[in-house]
Amino acid sequence: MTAPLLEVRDLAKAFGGVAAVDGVSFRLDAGAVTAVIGPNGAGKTTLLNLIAGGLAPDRGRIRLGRVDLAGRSARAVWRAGVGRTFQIPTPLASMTVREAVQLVFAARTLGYWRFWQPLAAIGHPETDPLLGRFGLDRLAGARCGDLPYGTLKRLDLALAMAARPSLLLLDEPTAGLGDDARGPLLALALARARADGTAVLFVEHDVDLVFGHAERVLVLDQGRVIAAGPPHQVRADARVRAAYLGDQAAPALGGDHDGS
Amino acid sequence: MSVYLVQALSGVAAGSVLFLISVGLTLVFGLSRVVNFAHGSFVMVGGYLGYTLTEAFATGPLGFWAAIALSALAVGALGGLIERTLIRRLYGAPELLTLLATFGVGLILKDAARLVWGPDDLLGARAPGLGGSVAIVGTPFPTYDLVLCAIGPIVLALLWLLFHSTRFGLAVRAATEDREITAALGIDPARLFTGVFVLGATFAGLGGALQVPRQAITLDLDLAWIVEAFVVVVIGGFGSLPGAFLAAQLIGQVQAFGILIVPEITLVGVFALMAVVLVVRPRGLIGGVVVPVRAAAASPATRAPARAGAWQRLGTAAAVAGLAALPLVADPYRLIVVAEALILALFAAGLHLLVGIGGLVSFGHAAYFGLGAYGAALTVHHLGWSMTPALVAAPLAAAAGAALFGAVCVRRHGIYLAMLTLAFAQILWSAAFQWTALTGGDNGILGIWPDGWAAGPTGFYLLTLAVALTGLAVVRRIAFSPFGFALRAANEAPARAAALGLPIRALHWAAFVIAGGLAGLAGGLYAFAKGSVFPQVLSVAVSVQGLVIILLGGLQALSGPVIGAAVFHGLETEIMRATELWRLWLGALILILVLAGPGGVAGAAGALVRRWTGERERAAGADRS
Amino acid sequence: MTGHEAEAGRLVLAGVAAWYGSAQALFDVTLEVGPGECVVVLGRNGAGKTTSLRAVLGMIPTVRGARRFDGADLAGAATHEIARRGIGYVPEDRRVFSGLTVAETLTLARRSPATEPARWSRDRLFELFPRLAQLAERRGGTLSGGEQRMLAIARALAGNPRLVLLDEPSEGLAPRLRARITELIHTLRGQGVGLLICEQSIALARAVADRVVVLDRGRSVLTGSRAELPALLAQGLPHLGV
Repeated sequence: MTAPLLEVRDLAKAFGGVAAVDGVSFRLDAGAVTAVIGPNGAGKTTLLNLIAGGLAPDRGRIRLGRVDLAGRSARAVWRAGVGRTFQIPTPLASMTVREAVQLVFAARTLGYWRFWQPLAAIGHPETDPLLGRFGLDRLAGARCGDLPYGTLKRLDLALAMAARPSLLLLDEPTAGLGDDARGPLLALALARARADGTAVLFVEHDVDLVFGHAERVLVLDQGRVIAAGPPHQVRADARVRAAYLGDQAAPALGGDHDGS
Repeated sequence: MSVYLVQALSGVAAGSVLFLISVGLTLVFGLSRVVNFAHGSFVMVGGYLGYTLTEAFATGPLGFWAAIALSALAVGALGGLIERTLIRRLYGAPELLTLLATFGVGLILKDAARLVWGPDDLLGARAPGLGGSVAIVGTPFPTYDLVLCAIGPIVLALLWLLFHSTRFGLAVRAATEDREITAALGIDPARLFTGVFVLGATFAGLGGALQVPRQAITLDLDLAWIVEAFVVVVIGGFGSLPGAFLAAQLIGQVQAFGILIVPEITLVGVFALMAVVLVVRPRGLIGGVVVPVRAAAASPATRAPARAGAWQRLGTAAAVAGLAALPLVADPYRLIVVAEALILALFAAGLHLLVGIGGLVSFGHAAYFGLGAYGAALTVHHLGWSMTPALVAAPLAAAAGAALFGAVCVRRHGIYLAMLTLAFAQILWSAAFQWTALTGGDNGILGIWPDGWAAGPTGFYLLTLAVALTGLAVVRRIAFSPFGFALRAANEAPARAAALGLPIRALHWAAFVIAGGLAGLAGGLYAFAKGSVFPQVLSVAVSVQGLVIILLGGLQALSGPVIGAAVFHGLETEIMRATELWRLWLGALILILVLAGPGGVAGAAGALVRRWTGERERAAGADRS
Repeated sequence: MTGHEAEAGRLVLAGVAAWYGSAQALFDVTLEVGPGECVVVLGRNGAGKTTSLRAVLGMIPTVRGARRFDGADLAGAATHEIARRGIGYVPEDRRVFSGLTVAETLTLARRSPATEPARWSRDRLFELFPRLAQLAERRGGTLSGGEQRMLAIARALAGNPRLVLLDEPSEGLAPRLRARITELIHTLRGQGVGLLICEQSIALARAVADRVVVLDRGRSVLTGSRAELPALLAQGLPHLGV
């Protein structure tokens, strides 16, 4: 058995006395795709933010390989090889798509301490391939501030994956998108992650997408993991149904129905 | 012993007045997040009204107090008018715009007061029946000040009652916490805003009117009081009434005993206290409201920096050629005016990097302009250096100061950062003012003349042109370097920037140092242009001037500071020649600019250009998702 | 019956869509709440339940579609104007005023209806939640989560509303308090007050709903009456559970 890529142990964080994440432990293997689901206030986003850095846990460990990420800055976590997207991405409004990507490549080599040579003249051989991989090549000259929302989410994903992270965190990747755009966006993210060998941890409300795409599902309720495992197993778990429906007497889910 | 007691009492009296004046600033900020720079003007107007009304009616104690009350109410009404017509439009606007707009209102009120009451200081009569003094353990103490000592606590008690037992007061407290839920209870937030603004203006007017028997009423009361009120609000905690009372009394005591013990550093002491509080306890002594850090979308640079196309390059080249050829056609006076505009452009260019690109609103950029000016003047005056090394020392001194202050400032955001930068500028201003051995104090440092080759108008003009153009070129390079883009990313999408590994604080600090160095270079040139340096180079007015220039020129492009400086200095020079009322016009100009949007003159022109060149570009960026 | 009478005290949402900035949160929400009627909106989180309530109150900058209450169009009206028409709001995260005492909060929230006598006096509210009477002089910020929930409900009732919007009223509450809320909902219905309740749990819907609306991905996908509830829940499960 190989060592896991990410190991979270007994992670806890409270806000004003209310436990948001309350003793969460799990492991993530390299290249694996895991979804985090759970009812409102279950602590999903807090869990993601704890791993992404800039938010210090009250206790617990977050190990990525041999590095402890707990309580580190977002910058340190990025340097350790973690990329993330945002639920509602804020555009780098004044830059073109190409410039935003060039900036990310420059940042990888501390290039932001270069004051003289224009960013456009520095360039990076991976810029165009990256734009191509995320279907942004024809929009390279467009300003990020003018992009429609769906494209903006795609760019956010490209920026998060530019440095080929070993772990990608997706915070509600399909939030705010219409029905027809949700599936393709998640599929794109996972396809690129698989191609790069990147492990993915994603928080998502759209349960159909979760069960369609995740290899493992982690169910949180009131800050605790109440179930973890492959989708079909989690789906059959009575505690998960109770957490979602708040009703012990919920009618049994007839066999293997498909939500869509 | 009794000397100390009397000194403490006079501190309480001063603290009382300071509290009255700070009430409005802190309440308005707590509720609406608007920092009202015109608040000091209410004090000034209250003082003038108090003077006129007490002169007219104060034959007896009743008439005197009626006149004071009437002055306060009139200022309250003025406040209501201003809130309804102007402030209302600024709720939710970025700090830069609200600060500038209310500063503009202050300029207008100052010239209005000058029109009505004239430029001379006015000395009011003593309060009838309270003109004498009482013996406090054998030492005489003015009776009127004793009354003031009582007024502060009385007002605090009345306000406490208002906020705890009236529906209006409860609603204000509720809306200060959560405006949306307060509205969901059927309460109109706009009426609360007006009410609180009127209340605050009334007490500011009261504070001003109460000063009539104590000090001369002058046109400078507004800035003097607003800066002190800021200190009170910051130390007490934004939006906290008891905090404001405590802080006002604390400052009253610091000033009273400071004068007794070390008179040279009283001014510095107050601002240093504010800086320490901002760093150690940003929420103040009694935790006021937490000011959310503004989302990036609302910060200044929301549009793309303009990139030079062929036409723009041609235009720039023509402008540079025109400026270089100017000595052939212009008279010496014009050359001096243009040289001054170039110095302002250089000053504003650094600010453009900091504010326009970095989104860091410095409200004390005069600190670095002044450090440069004094740096140059002091090396010439005390070390006997010539112009060239002095002009090297100027930006170095300013950059060193910016490195020091910036290291503290970049730990805070938004309004806290603006107040910290202001505090540091005020510390330097007070030092320049009070450290007479080094700076000559109010008398300044004279005889700072350029070297022989640059002594004539043409020589100095060409020197200024070369330095300013170099500075502008440097800013332009930096704006499009990876550093410039990283700075922009940290402003537009801070969370995204951090998640891409950008070291935001370090970037901000570097921007501070660069902007400070450029301001220092401008300050050094300014010292040689004027031949002298006075503490005014460090004043709030200079900081605001820089912000007005970049706002006037537009925040999006480097042409902004240049166009802004040209328009600003041109207008200033022309208006000042034509009329005494230049503040009125400048204030009106600022208001128009703010209300018209942050595009500025350059932005308006750019929008026209974009309209017919941008169509194709936008088509390329059309929806593909 | 004239059209106006038919709309008295009735909330109508038809084809409502809403955006936060450029992100779309609601696509097509259609529902009605009549006087004395309890409508429970079910849906997973992220389905648009909270956004629907906020859209009713005009708390979202961009809303399209029809919103009417009591015969009046709510489009373009400010939150306080909508609230004054007789709509009370209990937000999901309570949002009590931490600096105001319980008594101050209820004083502030008091609003008497123009015609009929006020039902929810302070004494009546303290009868409903005796715990709040004991806490009358305590600041909202010092209350426990359950106590804050009671205060948030009492605050909405103090305005004597004709329609109450309740966001996840039973989430994180002890069973006894849940029962109290169920009881309260029945009382309000008896008084002719309409209720629009958002819930992720179907337990409350079973107990109190006259009608159920199922939201999924910003759309109202299913609507049914109390009689149709068992069938509706079975049909709606794919939209609600896992």
